[in-house]
Amino acid sequence: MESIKRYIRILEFIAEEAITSVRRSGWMSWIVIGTMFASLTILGGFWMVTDDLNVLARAIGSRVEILVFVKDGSSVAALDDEIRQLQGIEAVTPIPKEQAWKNLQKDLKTSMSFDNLLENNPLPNALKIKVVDPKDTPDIAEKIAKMSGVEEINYGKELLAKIQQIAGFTKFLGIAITVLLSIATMAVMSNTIRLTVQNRRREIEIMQLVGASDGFIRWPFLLEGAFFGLAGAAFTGLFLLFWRTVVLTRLQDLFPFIPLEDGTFSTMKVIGYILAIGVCMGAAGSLFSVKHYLKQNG
Amino acid sequence: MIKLKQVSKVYPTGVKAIVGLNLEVEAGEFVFLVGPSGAGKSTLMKLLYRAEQPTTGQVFVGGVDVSHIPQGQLAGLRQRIGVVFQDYKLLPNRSVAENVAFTLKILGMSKGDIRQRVKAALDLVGLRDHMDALPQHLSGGQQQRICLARAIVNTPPMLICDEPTGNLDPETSWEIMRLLTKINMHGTTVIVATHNKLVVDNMRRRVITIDNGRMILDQARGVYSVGVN
Ligand SMILES: Nc1ncnc2c1ncn2[C@@H]1O[C@H](COP(=O)(O)OP(=O)(O)OP(=O)(O)O)[C@@H](O)[C@H]1O
Ligand SMILES: [Mg+2]
Repeated sequence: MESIKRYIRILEFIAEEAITSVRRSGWMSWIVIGTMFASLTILGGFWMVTDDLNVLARAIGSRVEILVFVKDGSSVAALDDEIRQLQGIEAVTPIPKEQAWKNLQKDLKTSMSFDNLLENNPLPNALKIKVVDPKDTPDIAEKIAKMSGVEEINYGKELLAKIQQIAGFTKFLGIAITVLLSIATMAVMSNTIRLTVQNRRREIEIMQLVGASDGFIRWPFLLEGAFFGLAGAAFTGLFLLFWRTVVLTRLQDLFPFIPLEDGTFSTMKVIGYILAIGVCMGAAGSLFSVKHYLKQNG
Repeated sequence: MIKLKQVSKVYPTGVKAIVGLNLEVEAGEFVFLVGPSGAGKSTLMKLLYRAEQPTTGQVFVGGVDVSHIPQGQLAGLRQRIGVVFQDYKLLPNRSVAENVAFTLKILGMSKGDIRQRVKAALDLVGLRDHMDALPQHLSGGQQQRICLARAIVNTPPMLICDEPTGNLDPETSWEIMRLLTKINMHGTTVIVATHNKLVVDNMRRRVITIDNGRMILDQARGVYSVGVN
């Protein structure tokens, strides 16, 4: 029991030391927080842009439909049934040639009567297919093409391929940039904190000489770094929230065709990650720099 | 308590501060360490609380070879040795009381006990009225006494004092010496490096004289004999 109390008192002491240390950092703490803010904002901003691109890609992708033209004389209903058997089909809508003809008339916006030409309607019967996941579109299209009664098949092949290419690329780029920025943030953080450690180098040495263990010295620094990381990340969070709710909403009012879904959820997710990364990096950065000094005096 | 076997210390600069030193100090002894400036007194003490490592030889404190102590046990060793540093080594920006309390806080002592002990220790060195002052606002002699209070506050089994009266007037010097004697009577091993001939000659304790890193004299109830051949 007494040893647990002792342990708690030591933790309390470490927390006190961390708070004192933050208070004493003065303007230095603003430099650390500012550095953290800048790096995390670049990181978070990039994530958000990537996220927007993905939303955009998905929005475009979901509009891609497969159009199947049915051979004259084949049963539309039979083909419809056969297609519905496939995996990943969301909806199949038949477009009879009469309907297609009327649509064409509407599109041409003509008042001329085509009625007398209806006998010789040159358009084929068609089926409009919506798939669950646009990624599967090429596969499904290929399967349908092999079915009997299919005259021709049409889907935004090139567009879809391009979108998928872009999505894959941004994903790769995202991972690469996240890794690079994380390393850079930590290096900057570690260097900035090293300055504060250097200022307290003599203090650390004295503490060691009067019997403070490495943990005593390390933990307050670690907490301090985590706090700076959290503070920087909080500013980044506010900035990104402002960006999303104010700036982007404005932009969307101006350009309504940009299909940005309600981004709140992903904004919160990004901010959550940023906070976690900020805390970890702050802690790791200060741990790195204090380790250097502990070794020297040990 | 202390045993040095063929200890030599050569600093990276090439200075031979300690040369082939053999020494034994029993638990509960009171020892003066004398010698001219640069003789190696501070270096010898630093070897004991492992602020320096010997170049060759072994340094035993309380039965363990401190020169080969693992990093994890270093703090424990230093917690058991109270040190009055020649250059005080007080934490700046922390009050006198906080400086003294530091060694107790790292032991996880309760706040009430800490307050009580800190007050008692500052009483002993005559600094009770300066508890809340910052060390840098006090005189050299006062700072030296803060350092002594910090060294004795957790009643360590061993006390190392490097020139504890270097900045004190004769009256205060005697008070400090009386305090060290009292602490020693309670069983603490006390080692004092000093240039104070008056004190050494009057106390008639064990006196170890070193010169140029070598022990040249070890008297049981000795006198200060530096420069007297
Ligand atoms: N960190 C160091 N690096 C290099 N040389 C040192 C170092 N510390 C001490 N020395 C040298 O080692 C020798 C012994 O120094 P030390 O401090 O042990 O002497 P001292 O007996 O305590 O002297 P004083 O009475 O002046 O305090 C001196 O020549 C000194 O210059
Ligand atoms: Mg000295």
